[in-house]
Amino acid sequence: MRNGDGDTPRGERGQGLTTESFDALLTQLAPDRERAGELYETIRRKLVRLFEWRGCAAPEDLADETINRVARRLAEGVELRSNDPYGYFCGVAHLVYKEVMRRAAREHRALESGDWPPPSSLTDDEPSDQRLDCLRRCLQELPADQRDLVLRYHQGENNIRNRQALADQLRIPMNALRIRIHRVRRKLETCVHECLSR
Amino acid sequence: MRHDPTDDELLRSYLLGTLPEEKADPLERRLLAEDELFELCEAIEADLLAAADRGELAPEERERVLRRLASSPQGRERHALARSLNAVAAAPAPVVAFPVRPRPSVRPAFRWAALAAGLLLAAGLSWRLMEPPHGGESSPVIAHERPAPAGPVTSDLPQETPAPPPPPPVVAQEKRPSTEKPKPAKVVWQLALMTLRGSEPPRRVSLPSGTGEVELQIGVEGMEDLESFHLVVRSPRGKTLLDKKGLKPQTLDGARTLVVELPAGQLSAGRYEIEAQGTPQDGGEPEDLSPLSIQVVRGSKG
Repeated sequence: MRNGDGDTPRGERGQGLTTESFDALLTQLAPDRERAGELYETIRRKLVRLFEWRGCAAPEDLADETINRVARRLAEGVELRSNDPYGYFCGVAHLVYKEVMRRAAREHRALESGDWPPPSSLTDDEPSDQRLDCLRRCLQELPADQRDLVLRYHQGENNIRNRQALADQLRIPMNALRIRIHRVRRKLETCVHECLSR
Repeated sequence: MRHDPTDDELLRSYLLGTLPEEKADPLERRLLAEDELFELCEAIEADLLAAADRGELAPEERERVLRRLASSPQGRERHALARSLNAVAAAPAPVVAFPVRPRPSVRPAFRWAALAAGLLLAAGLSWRLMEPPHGGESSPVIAHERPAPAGPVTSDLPQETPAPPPPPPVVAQEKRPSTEKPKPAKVVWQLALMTLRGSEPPRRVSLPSGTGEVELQIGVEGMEDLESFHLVVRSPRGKTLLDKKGLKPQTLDGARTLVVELPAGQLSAGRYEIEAQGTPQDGGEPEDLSPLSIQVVRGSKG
């Protein structure tokens, strides 16, 4: 596990995860070690996304910092509530986030200010030929029904209507369609990433 | 787990950063605990990134999406995937979804003051849509089933053999005779004059390599009082590629449509302007229509 840098709050930076605290974390997550490991990975992945959704530029570092702090507290004897084991992670994540925000404000880097320059991806550059080629190859590797579905989902104007028609056709609720598409997109994301890395 | 119907809006607000903190905190707790809700949040995030790319969001929403969701390296990757999917999905064969404008209730001169383009290109499929009346933000849409175009429509997807381009990834390829001689490829771009939504970003259309001809099909439903049209297509450098007066709409599956063709060789990547005028049946003065912009993207060879 990384200690984190970048956005990581200064206060506890550098205090990594010890074997003791990691064991304490796994023990409280689940009695079965393998299951505990899975839960740990899930929580970490979700924390990364939560920090991303809050617009943090180094979400992995902040997720690691959150987990490190939780693990240290558990090693000190704090117990996770069995009916809401995630609540503690969430509370610590909020503290970490607020520290980042305070630091950013101090450094005049208002993360949420309207005059913050947009990220480089804001440009209207077309996707590169290489990326498009990779995506086409990855689409070809999908089962035909999934390929058809994901293309139709992304087609053209009047998207909401198209999607509702798709959901009606499949006889599933719109959110089920969204999730189905998202799973296909995840496959494509992985495939395109691997293709571009070659 | 079943989703509360309000979860969609809650998650959307959360992702846009407009959800008050007192609601964001419990939502994040739920996101950690509920896998399906978390997955839905990721799905809505991807939809927002795709919508931002298609110009379907208000400017401030788009900025929020890109700043919040595309600021990390992973977010930029997701944004790139959304853009690529939009581009590839826009390429293949057409599905028709011509918007039908409500009969104008304003004076004709104002009616044409703003006019937006609707574009729908789809993968060899047809379906019929009917949208129920809603809040008036856009006009209702009816899509008409349409037979496949006479020439083969090129797919934007790579083919494994250099054989004639089969239709995009969908159905019944085996019904096509395998010995069919390749015809010059034609791409159909379907546009429509739509609602009074003011200026819009250009619609993106794909021109796969090997295309011989592009057929522009421009829906003019709801404009029955206009007898003929004058269309001008200008290249990114302002060169006039087509200047056609007295164009009479054809009826394609019940939809009034202007049909013009352009040699694909005249088209390179870039933004094209389509200017239109309509001449009323009573022979009155032609009415200027707001220009329609398209962004042509050249596809790689299939």
